[in-house]
Amino acid sequence: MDPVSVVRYLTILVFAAIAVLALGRSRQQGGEAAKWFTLSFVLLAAATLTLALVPDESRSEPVEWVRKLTVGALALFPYFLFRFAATFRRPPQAVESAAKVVTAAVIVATLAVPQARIGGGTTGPTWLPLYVGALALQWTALSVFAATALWRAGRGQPGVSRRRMRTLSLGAIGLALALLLAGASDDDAVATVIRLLALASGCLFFLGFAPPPRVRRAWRRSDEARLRGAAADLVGATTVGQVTASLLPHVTTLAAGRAAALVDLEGRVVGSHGSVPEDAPALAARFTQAPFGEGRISGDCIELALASGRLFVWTGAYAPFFGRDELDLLRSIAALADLAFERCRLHDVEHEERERRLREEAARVRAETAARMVQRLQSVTDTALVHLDLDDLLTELLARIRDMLQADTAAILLIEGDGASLAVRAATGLEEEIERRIRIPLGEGFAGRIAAERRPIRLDAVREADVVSPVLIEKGVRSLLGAPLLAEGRVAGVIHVGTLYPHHFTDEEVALLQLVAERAALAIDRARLYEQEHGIAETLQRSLLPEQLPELPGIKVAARYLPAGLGAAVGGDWYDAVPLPHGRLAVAIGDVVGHGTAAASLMGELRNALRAYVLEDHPPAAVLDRLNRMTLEWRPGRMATLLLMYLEPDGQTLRFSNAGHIPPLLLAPDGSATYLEDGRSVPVGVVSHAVYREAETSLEPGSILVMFTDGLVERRGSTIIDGLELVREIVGSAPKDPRALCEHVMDAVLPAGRADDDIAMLSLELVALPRERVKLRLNADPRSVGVVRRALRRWLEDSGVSAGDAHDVLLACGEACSNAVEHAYSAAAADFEASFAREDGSITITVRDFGSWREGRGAARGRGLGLMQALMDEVKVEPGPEGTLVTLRRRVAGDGAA
Amino acid sequence: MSTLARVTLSRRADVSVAALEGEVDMSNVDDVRERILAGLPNTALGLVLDLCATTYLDSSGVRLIFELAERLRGRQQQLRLAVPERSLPRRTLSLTGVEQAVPMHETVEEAIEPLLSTPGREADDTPRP
Repeated sequence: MDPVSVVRYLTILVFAAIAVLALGRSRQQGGEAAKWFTLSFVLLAAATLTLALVPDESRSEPVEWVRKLTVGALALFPYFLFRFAATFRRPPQAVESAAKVVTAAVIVATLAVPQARIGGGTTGPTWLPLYVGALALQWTALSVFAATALWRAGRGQPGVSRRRMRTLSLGAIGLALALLLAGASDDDAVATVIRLLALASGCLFFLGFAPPPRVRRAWRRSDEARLRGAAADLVGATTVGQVTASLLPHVTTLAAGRAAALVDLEGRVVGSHGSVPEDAPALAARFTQAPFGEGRISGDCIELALASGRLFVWTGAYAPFFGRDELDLLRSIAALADLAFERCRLHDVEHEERERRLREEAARVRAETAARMVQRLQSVTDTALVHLDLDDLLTELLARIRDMLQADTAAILLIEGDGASLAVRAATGLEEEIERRIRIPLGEGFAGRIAAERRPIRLDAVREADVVSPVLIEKGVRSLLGAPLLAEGRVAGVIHVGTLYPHHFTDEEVALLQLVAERAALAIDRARLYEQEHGIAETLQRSLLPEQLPELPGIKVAARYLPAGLGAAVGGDWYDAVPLPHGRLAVAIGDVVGHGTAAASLMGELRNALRAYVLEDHPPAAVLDRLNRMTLEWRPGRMATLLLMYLEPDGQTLRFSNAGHIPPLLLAPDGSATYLEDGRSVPVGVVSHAVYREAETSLEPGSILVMFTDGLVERRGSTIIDGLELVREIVGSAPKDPRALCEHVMDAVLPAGRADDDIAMLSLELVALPRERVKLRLNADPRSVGVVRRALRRWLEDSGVSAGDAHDVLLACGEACSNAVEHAYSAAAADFEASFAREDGSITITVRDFGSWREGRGAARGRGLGLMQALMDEVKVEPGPEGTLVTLRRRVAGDGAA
Repeated sequence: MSTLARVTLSRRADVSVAALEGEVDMSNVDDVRERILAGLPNTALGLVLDLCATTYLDSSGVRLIFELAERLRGRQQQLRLAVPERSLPRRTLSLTGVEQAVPMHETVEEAIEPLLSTPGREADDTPRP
């Protein structure tokens, strides 16, 4: 087989391939263009194959007719191609008609002309060239027209479609050229060129009709730039509207269509671009059920299912033919659009979320503000119960209310005792109302009306006629809001706020003030009650503490009592120091568990019972045992701690018993401070069979005993052990004087000077009597004689006076004191003074009473004076109107110079 | 009872002994007197007031002794004091002339002796605590 034949058959094969592919595609997709294209190539393939099979040399009649018919059919090819191209660009009607006529004429002519001559190359009759010319012209003209139409249709199309059209166009040109050459020359070389040209055209047609994937990808590259442009626009879009507005022009342009529309999943047209056909909604409705990603071409409309809706692009007639590429392209955009829509949705969700959060935040802030306000009120009322007295409470309330309502003035008026008028009790911005003691009768004026009508009243514009108080007008109050203070249904007063500018108080503000008023009323009520209760308890407790501590020779006693902060209930702390007959000193400190009047009254009972028992000379443990039984018997459920100490007449021996109280702290002269832990038992009032122990210790002169209640050591945030240790340290470095020591310890432990609980503190020091001069003032009681004697004995011992001298001086002094006590029986001021002085080796004792001197009655009673005279070197009795002064003097041995 | 002074009563044969410990002054002298007289039966030969442990005795104590001596004399009973020579009460007693009125002895035993040997009374040597 010669190469020319190979080319020929190859060409036929290409045509046949195109025909087969076109047939398949046309069945699949349909459409005008596909129909003409398929017809064209089925015809071309069939015809060329037929011609190839017909033997050239055969001149038989049937063969000749086969040839004629085949060539005639071939004349239809350019026409079909023309019609194919016309689906993209419809030619004028005249051209179409002309094409039909010329084609028909050529076919008729073909049937009339003996084809063998043409094919055989033999010269024929004179009209033969004319026929061949017409045939070539028909082919060429139609092919060129088709090529031109395709070329021009490709303008503005997406890359793949455009290139396919251009390729098809070139194929048509190639065929036209081949036919033209065939008509012009019979030369073999030309025939070869024609065959090659035909093969090239076939290949171009094949390429244009079904480009292989690689080619497709290459052709699509130019589209990608445009896709990126569209993508950039889509990315920038933040709302569905923006996405739609950006998407639709892009798809219209990309698909070189005339309109595009987006329909949401419910079938509503979301957006459109270009001239959307009127049946679009119906179309959309038909397509809404399509699954995501599906695309189809319906007539000149490309339909694509997006995740977020359906995209319709009306392109042109070529859509069915080139639709696959358009679809691919649109799918890419659709994917971008879906992303954009999703982002918008997320953005919307996010935006909504943010909005919601902002709304919630605002609501939370409002709620918290309200809660804070209520809480603030709550805290005011609560702390009021603990810390604030009525006036402080009202001032605090007003300040907060004014801030809360952003008012300029605020005032609280309370109902007066007469129940008929209101008086300003606290005010801010209107302080003059208090100074001027403004009284407002119930029912009159602004506040009076509120109290009488028991409801809030607001005045948007304050006029002089509306108010009683001239201060409101003078201060320039323009608007007022007031509410009654209702406590347990009773009007306790009125609270009002005002502004210095015209203001309409809102319903919320009215409600808030009412709320405030309710709480304030309760707090005021409770503060009033509390003030009364606290006052009673404190008075009671104060009355039970000794007004004055005893002054005893050689013993310095000091006490401090610090009531708890005003807000706290009065406790049951007490102390007592009782000089007992014959020189013993009883010292007690105790703490009744609990607060208030009940605690204070038990404290009173214990204190009195203790005084009674110690007077009976019961030992400390026995006194505690009796107090325990007494408490259990009469005050069951109550208990108290109690420390009872006896300082024996020798001024050294300390006997004590401790019923659950903080142990006494002993500060020795060497500066060491130790708690005396012995003699401890349970508090009184706890168990009936409690055994109270007793301890004894000997104190050196200069020792200081410190006793206190737990308020001093119990503080928040530290243990009682830490507290005890702290007090021990402080006492160790405190001034060595009972009074200064108490002050020092209180100040050091409670720098703020206000305790959570009551604190009682008692301190006593055993002092060495001053050598030069001791002066005592005592009750004119027989027992005082012993007190003076013991003091004098210690003083004489300290002074180094010999036992013999000491006895004489003691005896003489005792006699003088006895006289003084006897004289004082008739005197109003039942006191006497004794003083001892030492100078230049002699001792001087003076005893002064404030009664009238009585001569001794009888020998026995006059014995006292005789004794004094016998014992002392000098005895002087100086009676006077105010009393009698006895002076005794005696020289003594011993280290008198000291 | 006051802690200032303590009175302990005992019998030695037919003699009452009142031991006075501590101090006696105007504040407790009446108590002391009552205690002593309460422990003195009419049948007793006499009373020995034991001042050996007395640390202080003033004119009220002196008065008490004179009163006791007076009262016992009326009951045909004798009062004797047991008070050491060098004790402090002794000085008071000597200064106030009690020495001349009431017999004094160094110890209780010495004071009891003369009472038991008084005619008209049978001796009873058995000491009674």
